[in-house]
Amino acid sequence: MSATARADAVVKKKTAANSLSSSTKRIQKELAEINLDPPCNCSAGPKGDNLYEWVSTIMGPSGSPYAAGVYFLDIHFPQDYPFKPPKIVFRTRIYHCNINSQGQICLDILKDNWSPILTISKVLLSICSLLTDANPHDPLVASIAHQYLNDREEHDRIAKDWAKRYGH
Amino acid sequence: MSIDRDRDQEAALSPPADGTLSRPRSVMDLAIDSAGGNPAGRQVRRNLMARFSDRWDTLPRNSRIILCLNGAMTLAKVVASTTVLIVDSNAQCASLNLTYLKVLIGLYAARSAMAFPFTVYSHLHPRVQGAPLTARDINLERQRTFMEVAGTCLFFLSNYFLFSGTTCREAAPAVFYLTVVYVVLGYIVILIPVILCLTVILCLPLVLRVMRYFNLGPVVGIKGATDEMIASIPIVKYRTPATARGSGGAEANQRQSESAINMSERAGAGTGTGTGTGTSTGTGAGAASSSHPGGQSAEIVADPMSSSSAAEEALRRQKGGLFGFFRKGKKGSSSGAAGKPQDAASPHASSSSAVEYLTLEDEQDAVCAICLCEYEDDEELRKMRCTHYFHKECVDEWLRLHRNCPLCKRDIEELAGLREPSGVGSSTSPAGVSPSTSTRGSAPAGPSSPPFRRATS
Repeated sequence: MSATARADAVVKKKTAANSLSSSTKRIQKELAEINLDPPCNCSAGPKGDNLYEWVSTIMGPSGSPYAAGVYFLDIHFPQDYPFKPPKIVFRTRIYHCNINSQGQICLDILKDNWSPILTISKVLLSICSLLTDANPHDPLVASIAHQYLNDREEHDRIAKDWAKRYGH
Repeated sequence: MSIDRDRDQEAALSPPADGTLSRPRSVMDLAIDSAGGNPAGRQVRRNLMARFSDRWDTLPRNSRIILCLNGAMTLAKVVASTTVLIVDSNAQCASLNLTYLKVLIGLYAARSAMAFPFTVYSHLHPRVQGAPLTARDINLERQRTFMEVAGTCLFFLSNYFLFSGTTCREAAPAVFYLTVVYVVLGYIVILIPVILCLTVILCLPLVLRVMRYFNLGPVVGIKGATDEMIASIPIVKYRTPATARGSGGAEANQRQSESAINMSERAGAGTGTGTGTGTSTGTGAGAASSSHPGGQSAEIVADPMSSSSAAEEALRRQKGGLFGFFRKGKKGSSSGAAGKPQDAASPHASSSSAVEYLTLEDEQDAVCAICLCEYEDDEELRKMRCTHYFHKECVDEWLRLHRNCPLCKRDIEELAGLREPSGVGSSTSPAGVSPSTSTRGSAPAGPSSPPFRRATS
């Protein structure tokens, strides 16, 4: 990290940088960091030329019913990143009580609890841990949450089934 | 009886109507069923005016505004109509249109002049919700309907005369244009709902954007901090370890412990020796710094709070209180600030503050967690009261949106009210530790914790 960071730090001149360039810088740093030290089971990078549109893959964490799946996510950075959270959606269908059929994720750090010190790799790790431990008490899909609480076996069976069916 | 009095009050209230046309009175008499002729003597009128002013005082503000606007509008209409009719009284036109238009203008003025007293009346005597309908209410309602129908008829008629061929524009321009104005006003009244709807539909993104810009509305749930709150958070300047070592001597010593350094710098800025002035401040801070020769262990080993408080205590004894000097203000004027006696109770005195320098030995710590950039020489950092550091620009932008520390999520307002968190260790602060600790407890205006209200007062 330090090599790229220092290279960037040399380039950087702390003037009243507008938000666009500061967000670009920050995203570039995150990209460098995620390439140097990728979080386990995750990868992420820009879709194309646009630095603000990323695509990410998450391998279903082992020990969870999603272990067989590989999940694609779209990441959109707002212009005022890191002061506003990135928008992250699952592109692969997943049977999870905090992720709906549109792929929207119910995760506090992506909403009210966002903090500018969070990086995309930390967020991806949080999503990984959300896959391991769902939060059925603050569900996005109430039926799945209900099943998670009352019929865990069936829930896991369907989740595994979906992971095999969609997560490839 | 009270109805009669009210009616007379209305009569007394309509001088424009009385002045221009004689009809309003009679119409009102028709509308409000009078039980008998109440002689409107001077005394009665005086009483009614007094009652009116009493009622006026109890009116809600928006009601008053509406009434005033209504009155102004009525007056304007009446005056305009009369003027135009007088000006163009001798105008000749071949067609009968001119006559019609003149009649219309007169009717317009008459209508608004007639309607005004009723508006005043209904505002002054609003119908009580749920109260049974009285004859008065029914009459008022009937009157209102009549006025509206008359207005609509006038509107359509003037439209017709205006757009039907010969309008005698040249012969009587004033009449013509006044009619145009009335017609346009009528159109505006008709179109108001449409305009409102269109505005909402077309400008909603704009409105939302403006709201977002000002951090209003549902987009930002948590309120941001005010500029004053942000400004009250102390600022330090960063020096890289290399620079810190390079400069050496007393200067390097000054940097090893953020607050103690500040003290020694302030005390000894003029002499440049670091232990210069020979006062209690100089010796206290000097002792603290001399225990780290060369400034190698620039991590904050010395308890910054206690040593700074010690020095502060000494300074206070010396200068009669120097407080709040860590605040935003002119940088690099340490000697000037030290030379200026400041009162502990006055927050404004802190505008000329000394620069506090910070050096972080650990490279991993010397990174702004927000922009992920390393700190560089002379960059301004905000020292949050939870002793987390960020670039000033970075954290300010965040604080304008949310009033908490990005790292520990603690509310900055809450932190401002709290005491300083205690230091890491106090091995190197020799003198003045014990008095300073007691001072810290009693003095809320510690070196870096002036509460926000101090900043605003």
